[in-house]
Parts: sequence; structure tokens; C-alpha cells
Amino acid sequence: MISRLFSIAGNTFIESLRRPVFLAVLTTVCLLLALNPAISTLTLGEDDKLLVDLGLSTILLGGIFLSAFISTGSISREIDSKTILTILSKPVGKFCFIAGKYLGVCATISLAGWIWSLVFLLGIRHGAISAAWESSDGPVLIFGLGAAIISVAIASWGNYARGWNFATSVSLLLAALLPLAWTLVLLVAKDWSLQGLQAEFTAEEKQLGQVLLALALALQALWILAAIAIACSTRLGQLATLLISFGAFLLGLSSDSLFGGPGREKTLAKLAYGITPNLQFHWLADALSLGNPASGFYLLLVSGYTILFIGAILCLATALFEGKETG
Amino acid sequence: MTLPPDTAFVKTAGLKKVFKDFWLRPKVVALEGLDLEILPGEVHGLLGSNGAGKSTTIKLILGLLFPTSGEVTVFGKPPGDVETKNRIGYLPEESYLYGFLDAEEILDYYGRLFNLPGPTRRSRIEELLKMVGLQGMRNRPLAEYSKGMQRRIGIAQALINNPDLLILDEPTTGLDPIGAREVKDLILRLREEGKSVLLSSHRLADVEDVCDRITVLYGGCKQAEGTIDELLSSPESTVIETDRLDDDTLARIEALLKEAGGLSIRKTESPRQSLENFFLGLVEKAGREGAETSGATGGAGVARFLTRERPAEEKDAPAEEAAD
Repeated sequence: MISRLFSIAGNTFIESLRRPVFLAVLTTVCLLLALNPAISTLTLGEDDKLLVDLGLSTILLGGIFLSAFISTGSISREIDSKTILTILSKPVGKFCFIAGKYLGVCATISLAGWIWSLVFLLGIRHGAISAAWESSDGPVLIFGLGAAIISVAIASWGNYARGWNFATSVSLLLAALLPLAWTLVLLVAKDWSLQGLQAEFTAEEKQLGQVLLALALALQALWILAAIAIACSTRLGQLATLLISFGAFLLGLSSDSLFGGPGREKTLAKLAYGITPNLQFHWLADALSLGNPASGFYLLLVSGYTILFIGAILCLATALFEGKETG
Repeated sequence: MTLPPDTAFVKTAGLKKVFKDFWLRPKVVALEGLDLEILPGEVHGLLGSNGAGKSTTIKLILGLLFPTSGEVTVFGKPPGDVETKNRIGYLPEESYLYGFLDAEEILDYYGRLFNLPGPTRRSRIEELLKMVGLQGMRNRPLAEYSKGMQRRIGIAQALINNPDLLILDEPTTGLDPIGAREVKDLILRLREEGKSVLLSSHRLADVEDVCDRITVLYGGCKQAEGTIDELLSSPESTVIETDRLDDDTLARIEALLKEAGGLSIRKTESPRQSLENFFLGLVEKAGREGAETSGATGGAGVARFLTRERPAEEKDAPAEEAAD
């Protein structure tokens, strides 16, 4: 079953990358993140906090937008276009199909999240330019823009000369070259002097370790929302799935205040709290701006919660799909 | 003809399918009490008008739909059995394919779903692309293919696992006459190899050309079943085909018939070649003269792996099923 699972995941991943919406959302969020240091200068004294807050919000919202378009249609589109007939008439079980679809969607979201995170990290290193006498961060601009330009150039050449799909190749190239650019930026200080890799991590005002933790948790929130979208997609059309996904997102961010307030001991409130995804666990931006660091243990706990929640949702999705006629 | 349930590749008994509306009220009775058997090595035709229940029958056999009542067994197992599907190839009524993939990618994807080892997959893709005449267009996205070219890829994907039972729903729809002829030749060749084919088609001539037995459906009910000869032979008349006869010979034959029992010649004609043969001859000639086309070319016969002459490495390379 494993090889079939990965075949379906791989096909879903390729399909998602080749959809125009992927490149559109990827590029828009990258541009917003690149502009983040400039926008953050509009505050007085809280530039760096706003930089982090704005960046994390942009990534989460961009991820939700991407997830909404990719996850919501991943199964319903197969049913509508009847490509599912050619899959389920082969030795592929329904759980395998759903799990494969989910993995493919998660891989797409993770790839986008990876690229956005690196652009965001480059933005954090650049920092907000809060005064006229502050100059731009040369290494960030050179290495960051260099990675982007090389990726676009190679992908364009590949598309022209070899018929490569542009969106796929540019995303994969960015995913490979941006980490390289970030590593170089970590090694070269703003004044072009060499520094140790740990220098940026130990700079207290940047809280880089905490930002990485926040990014990992935001990605997990997107995985949860993708699982919910996949489960809905087994029975509902794209629009209904889209609405439920956004509802789950809003509910997830407010479940503490909705069900965790007065009356939280009541069975109904407990039940509602239990079945609603609590995305507050995954949102570290508030804690970061208040200066409350999260620990590695917290990451482990939330990861455990994420895995269990996704497992439960995928089991529900399989149960919903098992009884569905696909002809 | 009734066989023990484990002998027939497919057996249905009293199969009924009712489609319901949102409120679970019966909306359409698509199939009513269908008994059907598909035997090893036979080409079975499923005939019927639109909405007769042909595609519903196929989807029930594949486990894509659930019967309201009655039973279906495929290779002696329920139709939902995942492993049984290793032995089935299926071409849906429309070519439902992933437009963002190219021909090679999609065949590779389907080959992976059957856990075919890499070298087997690659050699089968080569042979199938040659067989359906699309080796020159292997790297174009399927969304850019014409309907007929997509149909050819649909046929290729249905054969990638070298199935024992091939289910073809309207296989010649959208195909040019060359493609249609090749599909018919393929079906006949697969029968020679001992495989079974369930063929659903509106094109009566196709069914007549290749099927051993047919089942005719109307309104979801079986109207007739039997071999082509049983159902179509007309014992009241005799047709003799010979070289061209002159008027004198015809008159002598007629006199002989009269003498034999008062019979007469009702009709004489000089048969003309069929439009299909005429067209195929022209295309073959153009191909020989090196005329270029951006579309599909004539296929290169049946892929070797579908026959007993299949390459030795194929015989030695089992699917990766055991490891799975």
C-alpha cells in the first residue's frame, strides 16, 4: 500500500504545483513578505515586533488561502471530473486514496510554507528601516534577490528549451536556493564581515529560535486545516468545503474564548472544545510580542496534538468516503 | 449456460440498482434483476440504448457503485476487493485523464498503482505508446490532446497491468477508423491470448465484429442473451459468395433452383468494398509515401507484453505486490 500511497501523493503534489493558483498565491505572499520590512517601519519603536507579527500572519493567511484552493478541490475535483473512476478501478483502497491525497496536499502547502519562511527569515535579518540613516542589508538583498533571479532564469530557460513546467521548476528551485541564500546571509554580517552561523540566533532582539518555532507551529495549523478540507471534500462540493474550512479556521482561533470561558465544565462545552481544532496552540505571534518564549517541549506537545487531530479527521474522512458511490 | 461461480470471471445474480434522490426516494431504476456471466476467454458484448444500464452494470462490477440488491462476484470475490483489481483493466465511457500530465507520466502513474517494477513499467509504456500510435506525442500534456488521442491513452492505461479481464465502455467513441479497427484487432488478439473482454458499445457493427456472446439491455432489464450466431443467424435463406457470374450462368442457377423445389434468386449484387477499408487503404498509402501528421499515427500492432511472446524479463519480474 505504501508505494501506491506515495504515487497518489506524488501525483497530487505535481497537480497542485501545476495549477495556476499555486504560483499566483506563492508569488503574492513572497512579494508581501519581501515588502514586510518596509511596511513595518510605519510603527514607532515596535518595528521588529510588527515585522514578526505581520510576517507570521501573512504566512498563515497565505497558507490558508492556498490550502483552501488546493485541499478543498482535491477529492471533489476528482469526483467531478471522474478521474477517480480510473483510480478506484485499480487496486487502490479508499483509505489509501484519501491518505495519498492528503499527503500530496500537505507536501504542496509545506513547500510553499518553506519558501515563505525563508523569505520571511531574510526579511527578519534585514529588519525594518526605522531611521533615515539606516542602510539596507546588502547581503540579504544580494543573496536573496540572487536566489530569486537565478530560479526564475533557470525555470524560464527550462520552460523554453526543455518544456519544463514553469511553476513547478521555479518553486523547486526557490526551495533549493533560498536556504542557500539564507545560510550565506547568516555567515555574512550586514557590513559584509564574516560571522559565525550562531550569531543571528544569539541576537536577543530577533528571537530567531522562537520565530522558527512559530513557523513550525503555523505549518502544523495549515496541515490540520488541510485535513478538515479533505474530509469535507469527500462528501461536499468545493464551495461548501471552502466555507467549512474558513469556518474551522475562525472557530479554531477562537475556540478558547468560545468554549473555554464560563461554563467550560459543562459536557456540551467540553465536547465542542474537544472536536474543534484549537489553533491558538499553533499561534505564537502573541506570545512572541509579549516576550513569553515557548519551549521545545511545547512544540512536542502541540505536535502530538496535531498528529492525533489529523489522524482522527482522516479516519472520519475514510468513513465518510467508504460508503460513497464514486461512479 | 450456467457455470459454477468460481469458473466465470464475472457473475451477477438478480442484480438491481436503484438511484435515489436527496430524500432517499427511489428516482431511477437503472438495473433490474440482471443475471450475467463473463467466461474466461470470451468477448462479451453489452448492448443497449442510452440509459439502458450498461455503464451502471460495469460500475457495479468494478465496485464503484453498490447494488441495491442481488450479487456480483469478480474472480469469485466481491467487487470491492482491492487485490482482485490487479487482474482488471478498465476504460471508462469518457477519457477521464489528468490533463496536466503527459502521456508518459500518466501511464507511469497508473503503472505505479499496480506496483509494477520500474523496468517493467518503462518497457510497457514504450510498447503501449507504440501500440496506440502516440510515441511521437509522449511529452505533450493530455489537455492538448484531441478526443481521439485521449481515447488512445485511455486504452493504453487500461492495458498497463496486462489484465485478465478487460472492461471497455464505448472504446471506439471518438476514434478515427484506423483507431477503431486497431481496437477491434486488439480485442480479438486478447481473446486469442485467453483474456476476457466485456465490451459495452452503441456501435452495433463493432460488437458484431468481435463479440462471442452478447447481452442486450433495455430499461435496465435483460432483453436477450446468446452467441452472435444464435441471435443473428437467419436459417430461412442462404448466401453464396463466388467470383463474378455472367447472366447465362445466373439463368442456369435459377433454373436449377426452380427444379430443386420452386426456389428463385431474390437478389444478386456485385459487392463493393466497405468505406472503412477504402479509408484505411488511403491512409496506409499516405503513410507509406511519408506524409507528415501532428496527430496519432497507426499503431504498431499489439504490445508484446500482452501476448504469450512477451519479453523474458517480464515473465521473470513479478509485481512488487508481495513486498507491499
